[in-house]
Amino acid sequence: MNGKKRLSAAVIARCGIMGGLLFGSQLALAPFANFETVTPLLIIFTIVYGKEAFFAAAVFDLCELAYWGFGLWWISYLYVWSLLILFTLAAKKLLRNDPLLWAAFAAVFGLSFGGLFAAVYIPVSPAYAYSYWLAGLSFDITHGIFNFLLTLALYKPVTLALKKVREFHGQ
Amino acid sequence: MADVKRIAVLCGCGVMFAAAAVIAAANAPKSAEGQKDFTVEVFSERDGIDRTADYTSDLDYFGQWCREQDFIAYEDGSYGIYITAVDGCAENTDEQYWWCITVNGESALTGVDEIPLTDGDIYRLELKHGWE
Repeated sequence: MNGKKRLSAAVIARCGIMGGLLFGSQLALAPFANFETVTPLLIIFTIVYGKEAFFAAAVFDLCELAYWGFGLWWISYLYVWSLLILFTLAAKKLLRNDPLLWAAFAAVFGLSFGGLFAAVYIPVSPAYAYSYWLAGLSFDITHGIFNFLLTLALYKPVTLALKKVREFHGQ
Repeated sequence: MADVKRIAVLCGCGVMFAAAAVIAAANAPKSAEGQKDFTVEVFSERDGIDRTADYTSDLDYFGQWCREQDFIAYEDGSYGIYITAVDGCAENTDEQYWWCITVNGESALTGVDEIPLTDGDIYRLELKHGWE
């Protein structure tokens, strides 16, 4: 694969659609605390399309910035979702195609979300970062449980649909 | 072999969640029982409001107290109470105006419903501009 192919119109369009799906689904589920499909979808996008998921996450982050405006939370978003993609790429061989294991992976990510998110405050005040993490820990537990259930429910149908689309378009 | 791996991963997850639940429960904000005397400050530079008042209540949490006040408007969501207006001065998220709560000068890290009502504390409701 050369550089020209990676930047083809199909890849750009696909990343735009994936980023838009992430943003739209998050916006639709915003009223429900800790109930989000960004984690399962991003995991599945990474499994099917590999490193292209970084571009999808970038589109998602830019949509968030355009919609909500800038805040320190946005810096957290930049690295938290990138870390999820990195962890997914690293775990791909280990977890193979097992929905239950990916659900457990998503659950652990949900549980760690507050800690990863709070890391941005460490340079300013480690004590504040620690308090921030502790204050949100009960939400992280709920987040992890929902991630587990949603990934378990979405993994097979969405992966299958995306693989069919990929086969249909031949890439 | 695959089943052993699955069971090991699920057990590992269970242990992590149990540990997190124990830490969360041990560090959950707790309220003291009985009557509390406390101060509430309201500040909005946009609306020219800067007032302070003393109150007394037997309630356990600041969110419970807010629900009983006529000068506070709020919405109930899955995160609990969310303050939308104080003294008739409404937030405006399109222009990034929002009501921030501090307790004794420190930003509240929990939702309003989880802030314990404590004797002698100073609760400040301040209309902030810009996301922090």
